Amino acid sequence: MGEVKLEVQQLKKNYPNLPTVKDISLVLKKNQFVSVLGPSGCGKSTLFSIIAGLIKPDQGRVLIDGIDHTHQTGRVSFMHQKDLLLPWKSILDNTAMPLFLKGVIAKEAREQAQGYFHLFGLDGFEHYYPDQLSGGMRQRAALLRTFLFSRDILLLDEPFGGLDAMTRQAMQTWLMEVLNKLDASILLITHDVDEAIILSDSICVLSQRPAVVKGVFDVPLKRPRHLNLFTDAAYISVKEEILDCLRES
Amino acid sequence: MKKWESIGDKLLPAAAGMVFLIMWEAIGFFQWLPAYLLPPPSRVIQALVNDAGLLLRHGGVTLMEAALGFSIAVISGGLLALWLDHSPLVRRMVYPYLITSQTVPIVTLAPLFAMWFGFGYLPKVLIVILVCFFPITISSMEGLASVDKELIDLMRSMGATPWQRYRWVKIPAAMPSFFAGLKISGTYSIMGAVIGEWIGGSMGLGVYMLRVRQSFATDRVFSVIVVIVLLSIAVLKLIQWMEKRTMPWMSVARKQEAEEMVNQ
Repeated sequence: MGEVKLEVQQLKKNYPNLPTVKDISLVLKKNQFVSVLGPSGCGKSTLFSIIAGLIKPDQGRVLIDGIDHTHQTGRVSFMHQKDLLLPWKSILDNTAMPLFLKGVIAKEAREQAQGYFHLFGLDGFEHYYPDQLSGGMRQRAALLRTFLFSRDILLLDEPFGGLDAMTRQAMQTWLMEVLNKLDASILLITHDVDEAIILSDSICVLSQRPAVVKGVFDVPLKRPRHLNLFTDAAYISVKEEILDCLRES
Repeated sequence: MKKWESIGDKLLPAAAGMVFLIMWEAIGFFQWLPAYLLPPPSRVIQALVNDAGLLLRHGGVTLMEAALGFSIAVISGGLLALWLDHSPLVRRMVYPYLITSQTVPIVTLAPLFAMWFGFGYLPKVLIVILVCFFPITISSMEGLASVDKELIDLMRSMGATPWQRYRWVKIPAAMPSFFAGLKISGTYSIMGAVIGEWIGGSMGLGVYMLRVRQSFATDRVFSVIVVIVLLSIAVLKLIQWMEKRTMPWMSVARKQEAEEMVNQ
């Protein structure tokens, strides 16, 4: 901990007639889990597209390991609410895709991806097509693909938003466990306050569009965490602070 | 239950077809219409059997012309679609003409082609190409454009080169539309070759049809029509088979959907 992996400095992005991101700065340290929490349509996804290098910001910089990566794709990848798996490829090839794209030999790429199938709960489904899997499994495959692309930094854009409530909770629990073994820094977009608190070390609350950072909250909950933490006093007080912050406008 | 339904799906059209053929046969049997105007099915079948050798030889030539023209149209149409998809500037320049060119009636081009290129195979193949080219190009272009933009963004965020984007995402995603175009133009291809042969030549079902028509052998005209229909169906079936082979994931998805429907 302590070493800064990803730093976003004073980002600003206006679309014609639509100021989207006004001023966002945030820091993601090594092995840290930071959530970006904000109302729907507040420009969270634009923020991620900028960090991933897909969109050029009007102002501001994106630093990764201290090096400027503004408007450069290929360093970090992100995971969507939609799994975006390729229907015409097997799960194994889908997860190994980032390695194929980087030019790794097919056999080696598949072996590398295969090595994580157990950890990601995908054992035995290597040669299935995405359409044959449940929503939760597809999201795990999508997460594995994101991880294989950039193992140190993961950007997750409401990854569980499309799942039903029970699957979502199971996925959150699973994610908490698997993260301990992955050694990665994670930035999560969500509009679910509970999800943000359970998973994060730090939460960055955004305003309505045009988005500015309204507050940053540390989550003083010890790890490993369990779902029974909903009744913890520290949990409740952090949640109240965050809800207050979201209400102010 | 399901099995019975699927048998019914095949049985009902077959029964309707039989009724139709029997009524048609009756027209000839009771001599409501003379056989040289409307030969009964039995006469047509007889003509088919008697001329089997001739039909086979002429049909082979037509099939060859259609297959050659179709293949050229598939390759050039597919490549043009890729190019137009990749280059918006060229697409905007060419697309209106591509659409307009389809309003030119091919039947009227056939005599011109005979004038320019003679009575060999070339004008026939050219007509097949013209007939097949458009549906393939347009449906491939639509397929390439139909790709989920977020999927392309994901590929970009992973640093995929344009070629990788096409290979991994755009081309496979375009396959269903591409094959829809193939099925349309595949059935047209036989017809295109026959139209080309009508203008003149020495071999082919179109040439043969003109000959037997001029000798008022209506039953043999019908036998040619039957052969054309059968050839077109065969081409269609071949394309459907290739479609299944090329897109195994589609049949998996369809099977899945069917199972879910049954379970509900």
